[in-house]
Amino acid sequence: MHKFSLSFISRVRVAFLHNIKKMTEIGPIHLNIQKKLTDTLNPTTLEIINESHLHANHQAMKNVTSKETHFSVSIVSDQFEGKTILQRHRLIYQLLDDELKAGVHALSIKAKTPKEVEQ
Amino acid sequence: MSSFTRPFSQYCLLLTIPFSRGLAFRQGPRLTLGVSSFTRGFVFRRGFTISSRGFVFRRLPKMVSPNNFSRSLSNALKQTLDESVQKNDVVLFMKGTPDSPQCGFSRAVVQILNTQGVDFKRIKTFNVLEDQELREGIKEYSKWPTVPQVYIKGEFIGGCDIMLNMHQSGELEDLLVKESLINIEDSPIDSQEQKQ
Repeated sequence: MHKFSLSFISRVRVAFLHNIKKMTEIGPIHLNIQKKLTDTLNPTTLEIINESHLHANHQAMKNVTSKETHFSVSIVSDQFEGKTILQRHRLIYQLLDDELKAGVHALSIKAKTPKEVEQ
Repeated sequence: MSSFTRPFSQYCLLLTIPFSRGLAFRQGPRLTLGVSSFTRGFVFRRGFTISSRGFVFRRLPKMVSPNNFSRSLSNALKQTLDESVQKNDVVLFMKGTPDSPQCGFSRAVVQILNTQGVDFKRIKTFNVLEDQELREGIKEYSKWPTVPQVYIKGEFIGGCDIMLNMHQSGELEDLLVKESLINIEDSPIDSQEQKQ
């Protein structure tokens, strides 16, 4: 019992650290996304998370070797003022067009204005 | 080996080649002088033909559109997509099928539509994983680079994030009620109120 629970805990710990390591590795596409969004949108808050390893075993990702396929982007910027959600998403997709063609399969976007965040 | 020679005057007409203006455009027949059907004359150089009367026909070079997108969306596919989007109340482009989605985002959209109580017989779904041409074409058609994509009554709504947002804010339910895709009595909020 004692040995079993120790190894279970250590296995959980290993998996946890493995996930953190995967999510914090910053590759070239990550940097490009960061640069483009910062330069154009002047965000007050910008958070980019690499979620590729969460999808690595999916059927659709079978033949893909890239480590940068799925990203989650959270942006707060006042340039989104007066734009519908669809317009904000389209704007971001246009800015990141090159990355999307270069192997990024999915971008999960949360785009808000500073006022919306205060609420 | 018989050598074939033409009157000198006809060779002089070769000099007109740089000045022969193309009347055909990209979609049309690619011959100068605007003649679409012409019995094959003497080909003195690949792409150039002299008719018996001495007119020089020249094949225009294939014009390549500078826009990368237009390669993926053929006219036939565009028509099919137009038809599907106009004819069906709800169209869903996803990875996999509603019974077995192959992607977390696609699964989320299916779950949202289920929760809203939309009848799946009224939804036309396309599995982009089955058809590579569709997978690339739909990105150009909607000007949206990711899948899943949702169309309601011919209008592009968005992807998983937008659907989730609208679901949480109640906008989606309003839209579905307005387009009579769900009944007001079946909507989740009303059923909660009834329970209370």
